[in-house]
Amino acid sequence: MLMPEPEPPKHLQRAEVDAALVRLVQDSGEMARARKLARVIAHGLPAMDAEDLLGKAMMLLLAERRKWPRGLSTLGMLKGVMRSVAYRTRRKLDYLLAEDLSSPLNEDSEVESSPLAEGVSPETDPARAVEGESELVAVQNAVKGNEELEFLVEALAEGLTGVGIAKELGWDGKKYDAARKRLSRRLAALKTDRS
Amino acid sequence: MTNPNGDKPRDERFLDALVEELRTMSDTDALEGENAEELVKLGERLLKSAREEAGKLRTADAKRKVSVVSKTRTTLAPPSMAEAKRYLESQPNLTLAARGLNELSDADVLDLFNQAKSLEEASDADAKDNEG
Repeated sequence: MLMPEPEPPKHLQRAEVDAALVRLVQDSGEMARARKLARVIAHGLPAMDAEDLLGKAMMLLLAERRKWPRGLSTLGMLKGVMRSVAYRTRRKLDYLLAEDLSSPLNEDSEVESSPLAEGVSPETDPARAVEGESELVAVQNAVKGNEELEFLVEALAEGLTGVGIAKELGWDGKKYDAARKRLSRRLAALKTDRS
Repeated sequence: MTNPNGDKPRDERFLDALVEELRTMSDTDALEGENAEELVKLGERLLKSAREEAGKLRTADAKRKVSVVSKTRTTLAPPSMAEAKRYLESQPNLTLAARGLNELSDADVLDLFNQAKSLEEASDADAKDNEG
């Protein structure tokens, strides 16, 4: 009687993660996709640019600090890790800015446990300032003034993709492809604070 | 508009959709505004550096685990022979040979006890790491 094949682990092993990253960096098209995504997620982070963020995500995966579910695409996995790194960096920035605004002379207080400052005005609220640099806002600003791209970004924010976008906006395939190509170009030009 | 991600925040929906768009576009479109050759060089540089940093992190993790295990061992009072045997008999992973405890010398029983404890503590440290 044949024994059933043992099921592979639910997460990629370190050698598989390494192999997936080698495939990524050797494929210019995949690298272009990853860097564009990194630019969007890193936007507004003063401490790191897109390349720093992408490198940090690779490092966390190779160090097995983040588990890679089997079957998840490289781009999908990188999105999750980069987003989590960016989120943590932004939260740290929130606390640091709040600390500066509320008690500029108190250098001994614990940064990690500091509450957001009370009585901070909406204009100077660091949380609001950081929220204002969300991924969507960054791309919306990058396409401002180009009506077709504004529609395309809005459709993406609604979770639509591919045919769904073309149908929703009443575009034919050619118009949709051209708009998507222009968006790709805009993403390549998206600057992070450090670039 | 209908979409499969209706309950997610807009930023997250946007990023999910963007990933899907990037994945389905041609390489030519993905490379709009980019330099292919420079991208591959950048990728190789990032991967090399990521491997080095990950190696340092794994070494630090391993040192920390060893330190946790040795600290725990030194803080535990040595068990009595009866306690050590009771513990070893309760371990499902020990081989039958190792369970012939009455045939072992006291020193061998204590040695086996220490080995089993170390494995258990290392495994607990792993589990805690995975939770974090």
